[in-house]
Amino acid sequence: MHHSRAAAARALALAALCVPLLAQDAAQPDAQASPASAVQPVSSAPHAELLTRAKALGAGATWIPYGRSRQGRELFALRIAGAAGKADELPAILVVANVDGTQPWTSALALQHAEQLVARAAEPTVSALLDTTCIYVVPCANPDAHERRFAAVQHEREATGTGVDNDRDGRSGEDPASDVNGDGRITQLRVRDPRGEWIADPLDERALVKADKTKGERGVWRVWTEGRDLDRDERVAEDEPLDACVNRNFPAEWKELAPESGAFPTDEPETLALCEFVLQRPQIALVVTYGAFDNLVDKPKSVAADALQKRVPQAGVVEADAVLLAEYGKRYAELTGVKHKGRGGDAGSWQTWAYAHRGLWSLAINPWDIPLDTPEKAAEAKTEPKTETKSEEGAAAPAKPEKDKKDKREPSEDVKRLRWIDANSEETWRFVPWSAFEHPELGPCEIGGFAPFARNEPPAARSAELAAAQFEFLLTLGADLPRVRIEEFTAKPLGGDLHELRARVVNPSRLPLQNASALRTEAVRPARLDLELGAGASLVAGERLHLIRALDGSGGRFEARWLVRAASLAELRLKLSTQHAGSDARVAELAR
Amino acid sequence: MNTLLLSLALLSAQAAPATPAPDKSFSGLAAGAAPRVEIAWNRLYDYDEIHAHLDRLVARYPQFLSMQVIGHSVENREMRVYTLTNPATGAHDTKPAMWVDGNIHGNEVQGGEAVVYVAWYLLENYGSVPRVTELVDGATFYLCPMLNPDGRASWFRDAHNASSSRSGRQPFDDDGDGLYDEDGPDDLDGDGSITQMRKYTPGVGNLRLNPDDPRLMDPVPPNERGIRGDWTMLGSEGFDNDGDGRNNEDAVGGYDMNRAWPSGWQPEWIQGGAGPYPLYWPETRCVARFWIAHPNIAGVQSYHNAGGMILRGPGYEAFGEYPREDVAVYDELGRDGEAMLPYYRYMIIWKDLYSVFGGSVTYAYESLGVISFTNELWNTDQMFGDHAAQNSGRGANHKFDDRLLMGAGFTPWRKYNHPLYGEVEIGGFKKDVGRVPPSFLIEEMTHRNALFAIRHAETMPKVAIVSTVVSDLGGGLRAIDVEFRNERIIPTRTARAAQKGIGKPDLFTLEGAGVEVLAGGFRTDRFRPERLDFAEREPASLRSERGIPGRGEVRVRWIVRGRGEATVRWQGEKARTASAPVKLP
Repeated sequence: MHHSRAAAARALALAALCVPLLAQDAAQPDAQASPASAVQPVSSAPHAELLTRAKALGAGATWIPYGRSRQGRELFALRIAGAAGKADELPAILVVANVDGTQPWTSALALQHAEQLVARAAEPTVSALLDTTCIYVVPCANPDAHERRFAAVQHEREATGTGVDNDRDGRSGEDPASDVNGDGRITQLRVRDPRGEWIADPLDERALVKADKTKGERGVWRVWTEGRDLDRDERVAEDEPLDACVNRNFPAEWKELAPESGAFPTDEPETLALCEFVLQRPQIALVVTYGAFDNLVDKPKSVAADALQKRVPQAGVVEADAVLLAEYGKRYAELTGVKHKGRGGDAGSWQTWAYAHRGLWSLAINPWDIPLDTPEKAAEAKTEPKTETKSEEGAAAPAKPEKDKKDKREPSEDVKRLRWIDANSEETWRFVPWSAFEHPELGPCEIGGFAPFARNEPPAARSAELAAAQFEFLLTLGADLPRVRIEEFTAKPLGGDLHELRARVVNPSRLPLQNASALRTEAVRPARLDLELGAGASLVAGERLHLIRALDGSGGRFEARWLVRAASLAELRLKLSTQHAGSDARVAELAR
Repeated sequence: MNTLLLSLALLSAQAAPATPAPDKSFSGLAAGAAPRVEIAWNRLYDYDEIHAHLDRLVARYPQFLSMQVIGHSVENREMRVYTLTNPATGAHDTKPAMWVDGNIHGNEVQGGEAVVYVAWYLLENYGSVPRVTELVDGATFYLCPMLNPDGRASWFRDAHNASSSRSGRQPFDDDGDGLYDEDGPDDLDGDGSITQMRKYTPGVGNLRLNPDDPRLMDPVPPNERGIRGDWTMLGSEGFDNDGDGRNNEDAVGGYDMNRAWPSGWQPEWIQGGAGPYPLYWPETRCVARFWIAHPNIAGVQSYHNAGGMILRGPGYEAFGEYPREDVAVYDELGRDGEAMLPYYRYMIIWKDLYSVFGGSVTYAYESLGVISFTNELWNTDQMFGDHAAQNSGRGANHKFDDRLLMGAGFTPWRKYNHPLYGEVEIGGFKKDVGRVPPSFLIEEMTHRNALFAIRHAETMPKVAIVSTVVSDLGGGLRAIDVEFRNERIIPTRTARAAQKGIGKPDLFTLEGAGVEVLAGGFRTDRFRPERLDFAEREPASLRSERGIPGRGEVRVRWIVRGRGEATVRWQGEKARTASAPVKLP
């Protein structure tokens, strides 16, 4: 598990290698950005482009279409396996990106992983992986939300499915978000309102923070997603036509009667298609999910295997699995240096379903977010340009921040993000300065805030290095997968035509045959150990068939013995077959 | 031209329901002297026959009954919904609808007959029984007789016992050995039944023959003299098809489609039979989609067998309890049902029966806000009625079979040479004994349970505007006070729907060309009209999550200016629109 510091050097070398491969997605200059949108580096790519690039991989990757999104976009996977061994019999890893739909960069990342595996299949580390493990890659699990990144109006929103009547006025979808000021982005809208709960953050007035009544703060702003109040109910953008989110529509921890959950689990076609993809490929043992959620940096909640409340299982990673997951977390930290926590809930999610319902190892990765560690001095002293409206007490900060008053206050995460943005001149697109606007229904207001996808798009200059580190981590995952084998199968003559047979099945791999979640859900079928007797043999003592459910990693073993009468046979065969840990067969010679 | 006139004449002749001559019918007799569509109600019908009966009803009563296919089963049988209403009084989806289904468990067949009976009874009595006429005019029935047509077909066709073929027919690896449906029970003696196997094991068994009836075996209690029984039960008829040391452990299918529904759904290890994800099987998903697409459904009944129960949720303890207003509705209907169905008990699923995660009627209530019951048809107490006390116990089944069925229900123990166990005896009750009534009691079971669903339908909400009062407030202002009443037990919106924002809120409107609505709201005080929950905006269109309570009213006051004709209206998902004119002089 522990890698030397050479790992860092290797990462850099890999990064250097990657640059030409990534040229097409990392080096698109700003000039190619669509004229209607604000300035953004585009390393993410539209779904159609992902499709074309995936299909162009040729014979090195098998193209697998597995469904259609609600709007009819193709859902596709790629299968990459080495020439040695049949792909269907190998244990498999599934890499899925962008189930949330708001992380298009992760789709480019996953596709690049596939391209790398194909292009470098002859290299020792890659061929070692591909010869023993089948890799499935689903670069874009949610194309409909993904495409919003490339629309004329940028909108970071996960929902793609069934809409509900959010404001309970008998109509659904009558008041969606919209680009009120025509700047090509859906940002935020703030209105001065005595009912408002927000104030400008004293440390950086661009950020908003909830007024703390216990400190005598009084709310100034009411904040909405940018939009109109078309239904004149004094709420803005409160009733979108689409509410269901693909990554909230999976059956595990599914939240009933919530707009984002959809009508019922697997009602959303993208969700159903991904479930069926996994169910039809029982060789998949481990999934890696790139998106908003992360379970490697932060230790997820762990529960006992039998933790039930009135027969309902408690959410969380089963304790024995949590220990191994933490080891993955350590390796991940060493290889990638990623320290930021993920975000978003886990309820109804793909990554939870894969683990809690299917018993698969489920690693969730959020590869990049705006750093929170930029020191204050690094940022240029930044004040808000004066707006048209008159400043009021507590709302606008003076030209220099009052250090003595504010030193004690811990900067909010938004303030920390703004510091990073200020310190990096290429990244100003990530925050849209508040500017006055005359709203058709609300009157004077201000529009601005963090830009869509601000937290989801790494800086272009860092793209290659981030991707290389994630790829490095992926390459390490195949070796741990359980691969059980018959370590010994021998026959000893006992006289006459009686033989004593002994067998030992071993799991030499790091991971157990079934993890704790698989053991309790029984979603993974046990390993079968079949003694083939045939016409000339009969069983005197022992079980013809053993079903082996639990087998520890790192040398877990199972032993069996038989007494067999075999008058005229020269040998007997023992077969081992598993769902996702390979298969084996051994022959024992029957000496006379 | 002549053919056209002839066809029209034929159509009109078909369309007019012929009423039986009153003096030939007996009062209380359901269908008068002779029904127009004859169906023998003392037997059970296979998949094709059930649909054939309903198709005959469609042919005889095309003005009231129509059919649509909503999906297909695993073995590609049609999932059909028959819609029953009088379209002349309103389209089916403008009326409160009662959904009735049966047979989600393949062996629980008699629900199919009960669903057909609902249609037959209403159609045959339309026009001659006023309450039937009113119900068919004022409500809709969606009837789906077989939620598990493949299971039903197998129960009739293949060798089974009373409990088998519960599942659908998609291959399922019950024992985790990587093989599918490889070891089910076997009809070793070829008698068309799966019965039991027992073996004479003198001195080392755990059972002994009942001294009064050698067909029965009694357990031998532990005793100090070390006396053991002479008989051993070996289980269901069959042998170890896959040689894994177990008998009959992986039959066809092996899942439970009444654990597939998306409310409180839990995976297999918590709830056996649930499948890999909710609504996994096509039979279940097409029905859920139909329910979601028909928000006018205000009542659901799903017939099962057996045990004599009228069941409501919650299905599992962790849910908590249903809101008390809805419990009151359930209690009233449930107690009614206990009277209509002797020997049936009104029960809460998790508390009085067992935990069920992902059941269909709990989904209908918890996710869709619909008052829903499951009846478990047939209770063995019905064999001897009031004499059940002295005729209970394990001998009761034999006594009933001997006295009232001439022993036809039991296959006598007969010797058989088993490949593994050697000489055994095979015998037992046949598949239509125990969970399905004997033929002479089928009609009563069917009628009582159908009428329970019809009763349920009669309690679906019905809204009337009982008064509109215009009063002068001076200065050109008038107040219009309207009382909207729901005369039925079921509210226009259940408390569950109100709490969870399910479906559309009720809508109360006032409109008139010359009328300006200045304010409006729900009155909270009968005697103090100024106490109004008045709306912030759109006063002419008031929305209510709570709707109109069962046997209750909602009073609305509008404050208006202007004169002329106006209309007040109530609209909701689960009752017909009610409207009334208001004149402002």
